Amino acid sequence: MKQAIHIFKKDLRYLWREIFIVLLLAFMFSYSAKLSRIELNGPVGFVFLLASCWMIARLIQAEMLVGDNQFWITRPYSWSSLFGARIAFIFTFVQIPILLMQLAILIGASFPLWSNVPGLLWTQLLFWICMSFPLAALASATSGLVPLVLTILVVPVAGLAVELYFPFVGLELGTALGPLEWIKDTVAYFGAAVIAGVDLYFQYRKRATIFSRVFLGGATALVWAAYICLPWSIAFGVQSRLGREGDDLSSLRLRLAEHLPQFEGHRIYSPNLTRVPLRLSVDGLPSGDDVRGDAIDLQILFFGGRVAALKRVGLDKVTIQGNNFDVIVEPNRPLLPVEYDAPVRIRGSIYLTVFGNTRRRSIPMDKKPVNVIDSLQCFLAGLPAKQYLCRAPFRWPAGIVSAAFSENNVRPLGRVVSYSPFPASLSLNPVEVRAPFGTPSLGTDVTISIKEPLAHIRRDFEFTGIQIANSDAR
Amino acid sequence: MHSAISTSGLAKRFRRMDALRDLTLEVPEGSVFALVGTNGAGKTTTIKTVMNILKPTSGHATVLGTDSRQLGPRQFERIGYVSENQEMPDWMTVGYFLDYLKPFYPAWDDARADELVKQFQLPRDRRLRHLSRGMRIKAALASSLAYHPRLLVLDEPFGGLDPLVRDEVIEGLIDSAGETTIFISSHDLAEIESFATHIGYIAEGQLQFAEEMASLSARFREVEVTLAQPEALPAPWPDHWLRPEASPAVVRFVESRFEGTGTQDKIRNLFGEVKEITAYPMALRAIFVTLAKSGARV
Repeated sequence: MKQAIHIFKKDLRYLWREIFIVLLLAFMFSYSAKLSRIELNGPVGFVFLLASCWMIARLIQAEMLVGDNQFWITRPYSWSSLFGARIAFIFTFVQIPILLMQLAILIGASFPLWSNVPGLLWTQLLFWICMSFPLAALASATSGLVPLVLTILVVPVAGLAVELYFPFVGLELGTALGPLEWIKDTVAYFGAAVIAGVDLYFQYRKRATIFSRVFLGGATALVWAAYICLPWSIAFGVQSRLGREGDDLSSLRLRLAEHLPQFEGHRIYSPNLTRVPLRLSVDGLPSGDDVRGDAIDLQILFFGGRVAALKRVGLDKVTIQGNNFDVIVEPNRPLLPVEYDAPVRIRGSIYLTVFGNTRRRSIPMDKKPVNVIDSLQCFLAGLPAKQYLCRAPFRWPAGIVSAAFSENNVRPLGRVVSYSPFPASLSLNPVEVRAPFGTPSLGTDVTISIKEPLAHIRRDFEFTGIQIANSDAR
Repeated sequence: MHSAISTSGLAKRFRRMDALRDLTLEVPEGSVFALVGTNGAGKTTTIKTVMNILKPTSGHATVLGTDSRQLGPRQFERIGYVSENQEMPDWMTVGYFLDYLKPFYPAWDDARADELVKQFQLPRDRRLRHLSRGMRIKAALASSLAYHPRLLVLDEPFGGLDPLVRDEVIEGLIDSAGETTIFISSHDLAEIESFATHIGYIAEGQLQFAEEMASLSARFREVEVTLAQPEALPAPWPDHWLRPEASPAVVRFVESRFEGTGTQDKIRNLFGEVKEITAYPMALRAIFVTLAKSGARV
């Protein structure tokens, strides 16, 4: 402990310029947040993170772990003291400033503090495992700042190369899971924490640079592969398990629309066009509840054994006619007349989230932010005030948020961001701001409503004897 | 006498190259042991392996009674290490460097540190990065002698130093010799000769010999034999008579096992009638050159 403090003091003296810059940027970021109620993700935050990373790298490499000519390796350094001093330094001059910045921004925005403690602590954890630890691990396994920067650049270059040469991986990479992205993120966070932890332990305890580098490279590739190749069916399975289906949803039914929808300008059967539009309807939803289509995994089995498949994350809802979801299946070649005329079998799974338990609050439209529900604040912004905005600490509410400016002017405030059970995402900015879709006519009052996610459910379906030829497109 | 350093069958392999082979060595406590050899002979590898900077491929070493692979903070409180290639915290001033290291060593002696700073004429307020090579070595040495180490390991400390600085460094070492065992690798044979008590000669990763300096000086002689009449070198030629040179009536060689009258008797037996036998003592440098050029193991 005594030795760790001694090393910490030395680092303080060594890195005083970096500390000064990081603290100055932290202050600037908080101050800019105070000035701007809308956009906090400016260059200052980016520069702050860059400066913090630079400081961490310089710190770790002050007592370089790679090589055999460093003065300290034949001095009575205890590895645990050295490691402890590093952790204490990063905690004091990177993590605490982030905490104070976020605290200052929350206080400045009049968000309640106590209810946001989990968000503050979770953000701290995320910055540890996604920035401080991985960077420290990389710095500990590289022989200087230039090799470190080059190593960091290897990751995007490798990603680009994979995208170019293995397009199928690129497609998976591009498959964002929408509100379930947090599951992939959690895999990456957990992987980063384990890799960095093991690497740092071995480097500080044994100075096993070769092992450390091989482990860093291999394990990072594995986690990256797990991240980009994570089958979304697994992710949806996890989400369904987390949000258990209640008894009141047992009446929920799925049916295929009797007449397949017509898509303007597209014919289902033509020599050059192969598109099969389908409409799935969800019935039996309790009154007042809403449903969102998260994903669909569907197959059409044509006469003769041919199969056309569709996997899609995020379904567009046809809001005019109840809970209907339209999808288009594109077979890989034009349909044969016999395939077109004969009945087909459609089977698959649909992943849905049911929203309900609506809470509403009418508030006056004001330039001063008004607390609505669950830490959500709304206010008029702009000069002159012509934009209506709402903001939430750490994470936008997981439900459907909408603003009713009049009886017939109800506007959703963005899509559902995430179903994550964790209180915050990895962001320096603890406030998320959203505006209603479109340009609402502003009155004197507004009613904000939030529908909570009640259940994440999966429905398997199979429809037989479906006539593609029944389409209105004929 | 106990050994400060003891190695047994120590070997170190870098990929396909054997840097050290079967090195068995004893460095007596209180001695000044010089390890000499040509560039790439394995001196630095020996030192780094002994100091637990490199892991041996096979064999083992003990340092102050501890297995070299177990050397840790507690052992390093009693060991000093200075190397010509050592990377120092360049941003520190000499004074801060010494102040920083002080709490690491329970036996740190402020008076001794001050004395060394004065002796080496070190500027306390100058950053290490602004010091000359000689000054850096002196700063490293001062920081390693201030806690009265039981063992001081020096890897080529004289490389590139001017004679004046070299003398200052040696003076500093001589002052500490006795209470501190000094294990030093160097090319600088003239300097080594002035204060080493023991010497080891390493070539191609193998220890050729290790013995007391006095014994080495005693057994090496440059011998000049003046023959009664010109004749060719007799055969078989003893393998411990190195680098023979013959002119019509004079034969010169280096005797590596000089025994006074015993050697003279051997010469007479081999050459028959000789006019004169003269044996000249050899400087360490001359011995080293002879060994290096003859490639003999003696």
